[in-house]
Amino acid sequence: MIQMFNVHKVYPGNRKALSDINLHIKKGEFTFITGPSGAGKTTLIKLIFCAEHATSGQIIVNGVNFAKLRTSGIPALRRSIGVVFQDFKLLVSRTAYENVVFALEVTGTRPREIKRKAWQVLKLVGLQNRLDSRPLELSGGEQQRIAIARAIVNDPIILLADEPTGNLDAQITQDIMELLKAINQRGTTIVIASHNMVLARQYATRHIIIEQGRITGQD
Amino acid sequence: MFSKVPFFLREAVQGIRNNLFIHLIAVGTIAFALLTLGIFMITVINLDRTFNELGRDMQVIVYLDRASSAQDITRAGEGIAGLPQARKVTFVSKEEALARLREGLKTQSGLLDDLRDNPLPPSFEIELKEEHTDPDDLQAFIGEVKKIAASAEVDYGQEWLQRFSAFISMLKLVGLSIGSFLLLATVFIISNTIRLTIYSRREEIEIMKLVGATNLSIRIPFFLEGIAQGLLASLLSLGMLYAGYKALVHKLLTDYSLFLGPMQLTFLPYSLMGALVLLGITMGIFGCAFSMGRFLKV
Repeated sequence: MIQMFNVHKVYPGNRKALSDINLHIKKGEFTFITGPSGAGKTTLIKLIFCAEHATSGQIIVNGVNFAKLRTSGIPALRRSIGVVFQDFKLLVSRTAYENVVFALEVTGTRPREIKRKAWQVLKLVGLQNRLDSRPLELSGGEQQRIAIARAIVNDPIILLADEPTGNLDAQITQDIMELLKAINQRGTTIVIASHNMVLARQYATRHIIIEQGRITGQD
Repeated sequence: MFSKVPFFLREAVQGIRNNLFIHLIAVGTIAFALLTLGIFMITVINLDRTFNELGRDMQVIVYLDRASSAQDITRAGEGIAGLPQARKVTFVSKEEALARLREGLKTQSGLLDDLRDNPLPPSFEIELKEEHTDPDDLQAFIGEVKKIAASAEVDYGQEWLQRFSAFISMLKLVGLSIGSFLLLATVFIISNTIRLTIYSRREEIEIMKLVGATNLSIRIPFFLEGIAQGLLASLLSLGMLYAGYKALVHKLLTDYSLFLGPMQLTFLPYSLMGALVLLGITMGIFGCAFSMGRFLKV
C-alpha cells in the first residue's frame, strides 16, 4: 500500500529530515511511527500525502509512483488518503456537519450522497447529536472526532494521523484510539505518527521507530 | 465542473458572511482608492471642458482697410466664409462699429460728436470651429485671410492664445502623470487589501487542499468573492462621488454663482463610470489570482 525506497528529505538550509528510508506498509495494517520530537515523523507523514516531496528516492502509494505524479494528479491522490492532525485543522466558522460535508462538496459528490455519507460518518464517530455545533463549542475530543469524520467521509484507503491524541487527556485518547481501531477494522490502512510508545504497543499491528531521520527499529 | 456551480456560489456567500468584517474593510479601502481616482478624473474632465469652452469662444477680428469698396468687402467676406476653419462670419460696418463704440462710452459718448469723419474700419468677426482653435491651425487660418485681404489687420489675442495653449499642454502632462500615479497606487492598494483578506484565510485554503480540492475549485469561490468585493466597492465609490458632486454643485450654484457665471459642471460620463467599475472588478479578480498562488502550494 505504501512503499518507500531509499528516501531522503533535506529541507532548505541543508536541514536533513529523513535519510535512507525504506519501508513497506501493507493494506489493512495499523501502523505506528514513533520517535522523539524532531525525529522526522511528521515529514514522513507529509511525504505520503504529497505535502512535501522527497529530495531523492522513490515513493509508491496505492500503486501511484510519486516520481511520475504530476501536480494536477495530487488532488485525486489526496481523495484516497484521509489526514488527521494534532491541532484538528477544522473550519471554526462552520458547524460539525458543514466541516464534514465540505470535504464531500469540494470533491464533487452528488447532493443526495453527501447527506447520507455525512450522517453515516458523524454517527460512526458518535457526534450525531452535535451536528449544528461549531468546533469551538466542542471539547478537544469531539473536535478530533469531527476531524476524523472529515478524513474518512470520502472512504479513503489510507488514514494518516499526525499525533492525533497529542492534545487530549488519557480517557479521550483511549476513545479516539478505539475509534481509529474500528475504522481500521473496516479495512482502512492506518498510519499514526506519535511519540507515545505505550499507545503503539497497545494498538499497533506494525511499529516503526524513527530517530534522527533514520528508521532504527521495526516490528 | 458545472455541477459544482451551486457549491461555488454557496462557498462565496459563506466566505463573505464568515469573514464579513475583513470584507467590509476591504470594500471600504478599495472604494476609497477608487474614489480618489474618481475625484481626479472628474476634476480633469471639468477642467478640460471649461478650457474647451474658453477656446470655443475665441474670436478672430479682421479689420479691413478704411477705404475698402463695397466690392472689396463682399469679396473678402465670401473668401473668409469659404475657409474651412470658419464657423460663423459676421460683418461689422464702419457705422455699426461707431455705434458700438458710442454705446460702450455711454455718458462720455459726446466725445465722438466732434468727429468729422468715421475713423473706424469695417471688420469681420469670425468664430472658429472647435477643432480649429489650436495655435497651428490658427496660424494657417490667418495666412489664408491675409491672402484674401492683403491690407487687412488681424486681431486674435495671439499672446493670450499661446499662453493658454501652453497651459493646457502642461495641464494635460501633469494630469497624465498624476493620473498614472493614482492608477498605480489604486492598483497597489487594492491588490494588497485582497492579499490581506486571503492571507487571513490561508488555513481554509490549506484544508481545502488536504481534502483533495483542485486548485480551480479553491480559486473559483475566491474569484466570486473578489468580483463581489470589486463591484460593491466601485458602486460605493461612484455613489460617494455622485453625492459629493451634487453637494459641490449645489454649494457652487448657491454661494459662488456670481464668480462662476454660466459655467456648468459635469459628472463622469458613462464610459468612465463603467471603466471605474471594471477596474474594481478586474482588480478583485487579479488580486485574488496573484495572492492565492503561494497558498495553493500545499
